Amino acid sequence: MIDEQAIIKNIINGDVESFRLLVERYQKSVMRMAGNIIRDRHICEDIAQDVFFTAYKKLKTFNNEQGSFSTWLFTIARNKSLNAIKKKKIPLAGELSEIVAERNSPDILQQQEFLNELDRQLHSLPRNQNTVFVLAEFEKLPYEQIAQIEGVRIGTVRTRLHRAKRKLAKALRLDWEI
Amino acid sequence: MDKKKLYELWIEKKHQVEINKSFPDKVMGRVYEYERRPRWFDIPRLIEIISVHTIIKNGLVVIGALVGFIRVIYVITMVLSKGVLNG
Repeated sequence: MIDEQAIIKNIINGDVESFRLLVERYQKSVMRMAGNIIRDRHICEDIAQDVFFTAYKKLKTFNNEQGSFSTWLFTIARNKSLNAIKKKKIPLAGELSEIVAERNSPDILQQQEFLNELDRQLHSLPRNQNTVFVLAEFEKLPYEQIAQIEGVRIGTVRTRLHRAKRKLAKALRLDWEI
Repeated sequence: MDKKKLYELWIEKKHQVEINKSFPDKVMGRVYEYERRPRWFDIPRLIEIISVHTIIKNGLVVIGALVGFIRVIYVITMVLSKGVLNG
C-alpha cells in the first residue's frame, strides 16, 4: 500500500489522479459514516462526494502533525452530514429496517418494530451523542480519534457515549447494558 | 430472536455499506471539472485562497477599514463644508 503522505504530496504537486487512491481507500468509511447519520442513501452519496471534493480543495491546509488524514476526512464528513441535517435537507423520520424483513418468522413484526425503534431512538438522540455513538459503535473508531473529530476531550466522548447507550437502553426498555 | 441478538444484528448491519462502483469516477469527475476552471475570476476559488492565507485576509480587512474610514471623513467634510456655506 502506498504511503498516504506520499500520495498527498503527489496530489499537491499536481498529480490529480493520485486523489483517486484516497477516494478508493476511504469511500466505504465516509459513506458508512454519512449513512449512519443520514439515512437517505441518495443524499448520503451526494454528501460523501462533497466530502471528498472539499477534501481535495482543502488538501493544502491538511497538516499531518495535527492528526491523521482519516481523522481530518472524518471531521469533514461529520460536519457535512450535520450541516445537511441542519439545513433540513434530510428526512429524519424512521424507515423500515430490512434486516429481518425477508425472514419468515412468527414474531417478525415485533422484531421489525424493535429495529425500527432502534433507528428512531438513535436519531432522536442529541446530535453530539448521536455522532459519538455512530463513530464508536458503527465505525469502531478509538476514543482518541473520536475526540479529535468531535473537537472534545476523551472524557467527554466517554460521557456522551455512555449517555447515548443509557438513553437507548431506557427507551427500548432493555434489561441489559448496551 | 432475543433483543440482544437483534441489537447486535442492527450494529452489524449499520457497519455494512454498499458502494456504487462509479463513486470514485463521480468524485474524480468533479475534481477534474474543478481543475479545468480558470484560476482567476473564479469566485469560489478566490474565496478559498482568501480564507486559507491569513495575510490576504488581514490585508483585505485593513483595506476595507481604510475605505470605510476615508468615506466617513469624506462625509464629515461634506457636512461641515455645507454647514459652513449655509451658515
